[in-house]
Amino acid sequence: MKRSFDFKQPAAPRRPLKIYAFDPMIGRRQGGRIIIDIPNETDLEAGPKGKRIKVIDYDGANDVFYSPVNLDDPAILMQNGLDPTESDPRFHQQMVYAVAMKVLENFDIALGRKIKFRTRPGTPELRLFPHAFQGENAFYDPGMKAILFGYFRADEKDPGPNIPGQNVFTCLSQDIIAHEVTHAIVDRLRRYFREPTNRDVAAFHEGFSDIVAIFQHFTFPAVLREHIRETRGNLHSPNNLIMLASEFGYSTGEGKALRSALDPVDGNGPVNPEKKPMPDPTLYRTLLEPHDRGSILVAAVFDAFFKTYQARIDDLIRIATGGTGNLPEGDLHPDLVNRIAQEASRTAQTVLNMCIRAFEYLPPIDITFGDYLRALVTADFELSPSDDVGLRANMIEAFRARGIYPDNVASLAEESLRWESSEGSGLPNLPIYDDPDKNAAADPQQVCLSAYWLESILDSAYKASSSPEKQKSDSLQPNVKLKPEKDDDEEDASTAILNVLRTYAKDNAVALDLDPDRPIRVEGFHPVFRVNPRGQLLVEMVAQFTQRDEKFQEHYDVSGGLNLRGGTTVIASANGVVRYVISKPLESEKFSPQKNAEARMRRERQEAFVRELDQTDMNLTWSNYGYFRNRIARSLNFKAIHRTLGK
Amino acid sequence: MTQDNHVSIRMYNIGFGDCFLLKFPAPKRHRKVLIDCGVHFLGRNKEQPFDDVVKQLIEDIKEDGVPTIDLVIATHRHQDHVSGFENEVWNDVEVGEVWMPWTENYEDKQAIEILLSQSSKAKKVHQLLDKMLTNPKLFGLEHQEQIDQIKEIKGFSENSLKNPEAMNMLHHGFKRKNDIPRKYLPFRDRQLNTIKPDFLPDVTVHVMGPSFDDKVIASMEPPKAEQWFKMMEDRGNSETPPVFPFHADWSRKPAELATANEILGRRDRRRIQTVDDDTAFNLAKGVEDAVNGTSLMMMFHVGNAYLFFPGDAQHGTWQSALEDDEWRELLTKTNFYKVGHHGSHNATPKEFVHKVLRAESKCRAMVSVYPVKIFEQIPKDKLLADLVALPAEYVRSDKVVDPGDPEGFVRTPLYVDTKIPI
Repeated sequence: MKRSFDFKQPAAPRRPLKIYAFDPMIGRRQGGRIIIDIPNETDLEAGPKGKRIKVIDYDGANDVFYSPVNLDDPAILMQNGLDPTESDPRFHQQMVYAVAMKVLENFDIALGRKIKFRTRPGTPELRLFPHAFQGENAFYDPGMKAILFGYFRADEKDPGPNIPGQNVFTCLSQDIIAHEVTHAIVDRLRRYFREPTNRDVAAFHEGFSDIVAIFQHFTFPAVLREHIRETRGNLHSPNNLIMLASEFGYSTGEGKALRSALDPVDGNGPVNPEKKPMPDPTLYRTLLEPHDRGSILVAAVFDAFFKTYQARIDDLIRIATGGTGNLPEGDLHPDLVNRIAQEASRTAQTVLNMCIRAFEYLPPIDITFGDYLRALVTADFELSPSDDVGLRANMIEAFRARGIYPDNVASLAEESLRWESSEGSGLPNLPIYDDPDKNAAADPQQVCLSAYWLESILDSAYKASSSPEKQKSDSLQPNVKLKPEKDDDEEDASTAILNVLRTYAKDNAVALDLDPDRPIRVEGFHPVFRVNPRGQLLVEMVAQFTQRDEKFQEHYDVSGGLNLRGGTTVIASANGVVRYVISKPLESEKFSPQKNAEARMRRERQEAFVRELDQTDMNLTWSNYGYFRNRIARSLNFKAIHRTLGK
Repeated sequence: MTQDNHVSIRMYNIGFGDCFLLKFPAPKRHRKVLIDCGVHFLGRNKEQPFDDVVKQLIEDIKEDGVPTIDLVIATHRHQDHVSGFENEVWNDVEVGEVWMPWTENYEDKQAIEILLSQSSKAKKVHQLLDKMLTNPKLFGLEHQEQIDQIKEIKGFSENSLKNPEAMNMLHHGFKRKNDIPRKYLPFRDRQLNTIKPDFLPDVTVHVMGPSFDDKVIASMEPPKAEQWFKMMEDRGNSETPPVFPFHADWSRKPAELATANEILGRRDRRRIQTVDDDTAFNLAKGVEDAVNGTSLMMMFHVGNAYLFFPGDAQHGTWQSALEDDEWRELLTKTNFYKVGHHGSHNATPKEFVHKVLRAESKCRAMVSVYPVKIFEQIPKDKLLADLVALPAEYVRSDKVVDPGDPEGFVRTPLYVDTKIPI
């Protein structure tokens, strides 16, 4: 093979970067630094400024910019990035960029597509400010589409593991970075999850962000190896991994529900490695605060992860102990430690993927933990129907043990929990061919890709998804600062698909659980790629539709300023056959009594939730009318939820 | 001459605050109960100077020239409920007994802890706000708007300050000083909270709050915000160097960077600079609510009169009361309601108005309030409308409502009266 003299080495696919593995805020550990690798962005500018992530080191308290790091500087490149240090702001920028990119990569892989942020014109990236303000907080600001990290001085008298008066940076915690970036991504995937229409919505945002943070952390084998080596015994209790999680700085509600879900029955004492953990199903009924409630979700997923991980290392233990299960005294064999760490990290990745992939199977609005369980089960079933490692069964059991039951299911058997399949329901196929006969004849077993369709969806889907507000009619009244960004000069998106979908929705409204007498909006549309168990590449299409009850919001006393919405997620295979219709209906004259009962239950639940929040909303007493008209939406304020004014 | 068949209730037009005088019929002389006397710093009645109202009150309680009260009740130590007691005239008032919430009992260790943490936090907030107003530049306050807002918050925070003279009067003052028996309520033993004071014949007082529920007691703890305080104190202290997290060589002011606006526009920079602007107000609110949590909640029952005074009690205490079968039963008979916390939104639970109050009771309600700019929603219109819809009748202390005060209420510039039949 000929190679020219001027052979140019293609760019490296991965970029290794050093980060702190453990939150320096809670102390330094042996092996606290690791190297993670992320996809390499060519043309990465100083900042770092990439295509989707832009780090801007502006300090609002001091009104200064800090020197931006150039990760492509050969000296820096050669050493896998700058060495971890608290005193060089460029390392902080590096770490924030690295962890954010890792989160994005996990989402890209699990979802089978590249997430793009729906941001303001001229700034298509998610912005991260590593030293934005002085304070013990870090939060995602949906208005700015940015993540602001605070920094503060450790207490003189009670510095914890830090030096008194030392600077402490929230941007140096892998978990905090990953948690916040996840909020931003969830907001991108489901913007209405910022409308707290029931007790679970805010909690889901928190819990899911914690799940991504923790499990991403567990996917770094170097971290686990160290810990497994140290805690040699007790591979049968999850408590050690939980202690590890808390060393990560995982402080969701002080990990209360996680601890009490996995602690011994006598409550909130220190985690005892010996005792058997027992989840408390009453917590789901009583805990309201988003962190506390979100912790229940984390605990459930963690539970399932741990059982699966245990099953996976069973054979290793058998081999290592000759069947007795009793590990020898002294240190574990390093090979054993490696293999166990690998299994743990592999399982963590599997769980992470499953948790992220479930997003495709969520309705566009009004999420509950029960919905998420159904989505998890359906997503995992699609990928591996036979549940080889038992992860799915473990997940179901873990949710059940915590009293989380989905609405409207007949039983907790797996088949019942999966979203109902729409195949054979009589719902017409998505019209992907010009020829109506071809559309009708599409065979679900026949997986074929219409070239036109594939090209269209690959090309226009992103554009369409990134600006659904382009549709002329059906525009929803923005309230929660969900104002459509005024991007008139963005490229002309191909609206062909949007129109096709809207027409389809109108024509089949009732079957899609949408009220035909109300405007329907195409909320989003994108393709999904996955490999099925037979090794074939499948292309699916996911479309989201929403509508709202126009009159509901104005009764501010009852509505709290929130809209009452209906919405449906439709999943279809590439040949147009609709496979799932995942809906949250509004009441409609055209629906069956059963469907209306479901819709009414949702409305009543939303109203009851407003009353519940009102009762304990101290801001309400002192607020003005503007607040009153927007109060419930304001309750899902990331800055406030994450603030530690503390009690 | 005093065997009337009614209890009379006088709501003084005191401004944003509470001051209620109850007269119960009894042999030989009316028995008088005073519930609170105070006005909020931000809510002084411009038409009726506070001191005039207090003077009127003293006149009203005179018997043979001696101002006499059988029972003085201070529901909680907020300025708008106790500031009136600062006035030295109270040293000449004959008081039979004084009731206060259990958190005022200086011999109760838990009470002392709560008091200390509330008052020290209130003081801290107030002092900090003061500093912010004396040296706004140090705190990054550049616009007049911001400074005005801090002024308002400072006025707001006055309410939770110690009020030492007033509290001293309540604890150790009035004519007979320390010889006056003082009760700290409610008792932890539920049975003891049904009180039949011997100086109030035929009257039973049910003390329903503050609740001893863990959550309610937790709510009496103001937010800590240690970190934020430290930061603000550092800022305000010109001797502490500003917190520069990095060596100066790493930083550049926007003016020094040609590309500053490209990297981050001015508007966004401003937005980041003001990111913590609402902390001061939130903190002040938190302190205010902590003290409201200590508020007494009582019902006076004599004959057919069921007079309900919830003070400024909040959700937790209300819930305990409504969940208690005996108390709930009593509450359904309420025919006089002192609207909680000057008519604010959730100081009167919807459940109380829609499910507990009965139309048959023909309830009369009084709202002691005065318009304050930053308290836009006090009193809450919807609450007042719901009361009227019951049907119940209400009046405000500060003005006549459209189209006029309901029958059964008699108004003068300094007070509004009503009578509840026994």
